[in-house]
Amino acid sequence: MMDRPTFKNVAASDWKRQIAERAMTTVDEVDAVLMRHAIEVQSVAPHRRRITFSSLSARGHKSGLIVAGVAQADADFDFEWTGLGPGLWVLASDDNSAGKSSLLKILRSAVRGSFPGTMKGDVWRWTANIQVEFNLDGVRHRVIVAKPAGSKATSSGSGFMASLVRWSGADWSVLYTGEEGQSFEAAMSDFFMQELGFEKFHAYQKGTDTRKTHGWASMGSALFITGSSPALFGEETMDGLSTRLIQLFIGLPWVTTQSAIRSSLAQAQAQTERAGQSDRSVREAIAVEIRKLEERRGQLIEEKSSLPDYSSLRRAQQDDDRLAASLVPKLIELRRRVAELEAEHAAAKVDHDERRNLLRQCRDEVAAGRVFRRLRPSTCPSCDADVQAARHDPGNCPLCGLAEEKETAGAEARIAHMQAEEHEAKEAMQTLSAELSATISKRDALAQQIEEIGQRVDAANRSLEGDDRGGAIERELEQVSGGISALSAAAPAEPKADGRTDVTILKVAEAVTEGCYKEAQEKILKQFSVELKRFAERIGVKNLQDVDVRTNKIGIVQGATPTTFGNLNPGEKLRFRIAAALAAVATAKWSGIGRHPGLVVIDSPASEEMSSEDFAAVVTGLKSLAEEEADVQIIVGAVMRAEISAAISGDNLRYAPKGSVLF
Amino acid sequence: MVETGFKHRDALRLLFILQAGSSVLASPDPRTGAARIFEGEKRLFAIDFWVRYPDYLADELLDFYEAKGGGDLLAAVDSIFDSEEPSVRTVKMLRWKRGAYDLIEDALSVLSSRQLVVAVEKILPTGIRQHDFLVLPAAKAFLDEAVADQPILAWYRDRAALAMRVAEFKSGTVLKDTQYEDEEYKNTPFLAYIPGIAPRVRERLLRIKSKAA
Repeated sequence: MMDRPTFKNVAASDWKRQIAERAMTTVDEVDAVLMRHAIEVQSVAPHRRRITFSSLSARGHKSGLIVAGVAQADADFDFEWTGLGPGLWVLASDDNSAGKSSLLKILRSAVRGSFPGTMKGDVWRWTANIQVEFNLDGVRHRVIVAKPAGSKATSSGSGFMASLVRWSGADWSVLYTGEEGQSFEAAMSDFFMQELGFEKFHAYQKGTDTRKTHGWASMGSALFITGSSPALFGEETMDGLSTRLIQLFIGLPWVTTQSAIRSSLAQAQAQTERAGQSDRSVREAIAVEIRKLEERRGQLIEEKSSLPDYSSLRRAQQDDDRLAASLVPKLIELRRRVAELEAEHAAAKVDHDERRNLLRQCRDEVAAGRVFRRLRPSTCPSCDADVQAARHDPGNCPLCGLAEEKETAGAEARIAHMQAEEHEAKEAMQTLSAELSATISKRDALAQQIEEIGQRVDAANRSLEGDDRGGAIERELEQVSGGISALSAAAPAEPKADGRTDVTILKVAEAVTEGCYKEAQEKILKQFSVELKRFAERIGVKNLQDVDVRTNKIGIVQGATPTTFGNLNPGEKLRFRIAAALAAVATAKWSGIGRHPGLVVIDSPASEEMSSEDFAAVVTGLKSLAEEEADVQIIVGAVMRAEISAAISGDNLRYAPKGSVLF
Repeated sequence: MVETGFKHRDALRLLFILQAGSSVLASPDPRTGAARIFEGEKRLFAIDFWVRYPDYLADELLDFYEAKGGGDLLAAVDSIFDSEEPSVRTVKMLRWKRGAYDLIEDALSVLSSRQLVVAVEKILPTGIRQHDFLVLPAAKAFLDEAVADQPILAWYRDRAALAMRVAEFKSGTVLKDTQYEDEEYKNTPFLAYIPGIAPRVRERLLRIKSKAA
């Protein structure tokens, strides 16, 4: 046997400080993470508490019995087994179904507080009263269950009553009493966990993202070995329970804390991974949506660019309206002026024409007068009498004798004057004509301008009829842009690589915690392996060269062949399970920090697991072990064999011979 | 009333018309020696109307052109409007009972006193009195000398000839009827100046010219 391990005494404060330093954070943050994950620090190995059954009684009324196909009469039963204590205690019978398992199951139910638990239905129905007394480090306790015989119910109002009482030295104090089975089970769990100083194991199941705690139900059940099981310790291999139970019972400080850290870490990692995946998938989904929206925005912008600029159109239209409004009066004025000028011009033309006409006539008259004056009248225009020209002075009119009017400068002056007037009139007309032309040009230009303005306004009106589309585009653009902004804001941020996540701190905590017990753990596991091998051999495992129990596996070399617990045959598995329980007790004693309560209850195996002969050999092997381990109580249910009766006797044996039952 | 200050011009104009519109007598008039005769005062007024209203003459010329063709007629109408004759050459006439009318006594006295024209009267088979005008031999020479001496007077010679292309030797009644076909002429109130029709005839000319083109 190795020297006892020495443990580093690491105070919780130091532990936290180490974690903070290595995680490059603060102790407050470490505390926050621990609190967030409900990780309690258990640095001090609690001392071992002993559970020892001292008595078992069961009373009731059997009904519905059929033996060998023959109905039996109902009968009361009253079983009592008292005086139990450390050592090996055997419930034996020649026949099967003599009540051995039922009695052991009652013990198990009492320890777990779970009724009916694994008790057979008919046994439970028959039972009216159960009392199991046990010592917890010498303090007497009783589990008392009462119910109407024939009833199976454990619900409130069914008559079921369960109590846990403690002997105070003077009387029995009720620690708990209740009418509800589940409540009693919870009360017993709390009681034992507290009394034994156990902490719940935490396990994280990634598949279901649930955190499971294993409490007294698993721990208490580990004290009961019923046949084969895939687990070396306890009934389940899930969540590494078997290993953790071993660690618990053989005494490893920090194991509870470490299990809590590991389960929290696994959960946090899974959550981070899921969150990351979730975030990633959310980011990707959002990115896809943003791309769709951006594509739509691009389409809208392109469509908008093809539309007229409605605002500008409106402004231009208003400007045109104002311009037209300012120009129209000018046009009206110009039109009026044109009309005026046309009239003036027409009048001037008439005047000019008249003057031209008159001038023409005057000129023609002067010319005609000249030619006619060369001819001297020879007859009287009135009476046609001949005119004697010689009778008149030259230069006088032969008709009237008056001096002939000569064409004088007067005529020329007159014509010159008329020419001047004609010229003046022409100039006036031309001036008016020029002014009229200019005014007409202005009028026409202005009319054209107003016409163009009108056409622009009409065109703008037609274009503005399409403004609805522009407005719709603007609205949709606003929505799409808003959607892009909102989605961008909603997209989870890329995870920071160096964030002070719980995972980081928990990882460090795991490493720090392991450092606190690793060395001791190796020693303890080594010792446990030794003890396991020893006990296994003592109770009949053959050809065992080596047993190496690690935290994550159990290495067995049997017949020079490495194997595992899982590969053992059922009988060997049972032996190993029994050996493991005993090894745990021994190791706990050796380490001084183990917490196995020193109680092992073994129900007889089924024939396929181990023959009765073989089990009898186990039982006799257990006797010597029980004597070695003075404070261990081993209670066994077995089919009676000569080996057993030879080894066990007296009060340590309750025996139902053939044809009888224990109760 | 037309200004009587233009009696010499009027006399000359009438002489050109009388000369152009006269026909040769079978034998010279024994009393006056006149070899030519212009028959009908109504006819004289009608032809004088066309000389005095270039736009109405142009309209008749376009009728002739449209009926018989003749590029010279179109050219003559073109010239009338190019020279703005409706404005410059029109000598307005009054509308009276038998259409366009003017007092021509003074003008005729100028002609008769110089032995150029002699007014005569005859009774038609219908019993109606008709005034005719004997054109004396000196008239032709006088007119030729007049144009030679005063070239601006050639216009009256040419215009009289042009008017005769329209009048031909139709009777005054026929000519007057022709003139009554113009609404403006027909609808002119008595003793009102017959209005010009230049704008209408100008447009007609343009239409005909564009068609001809």
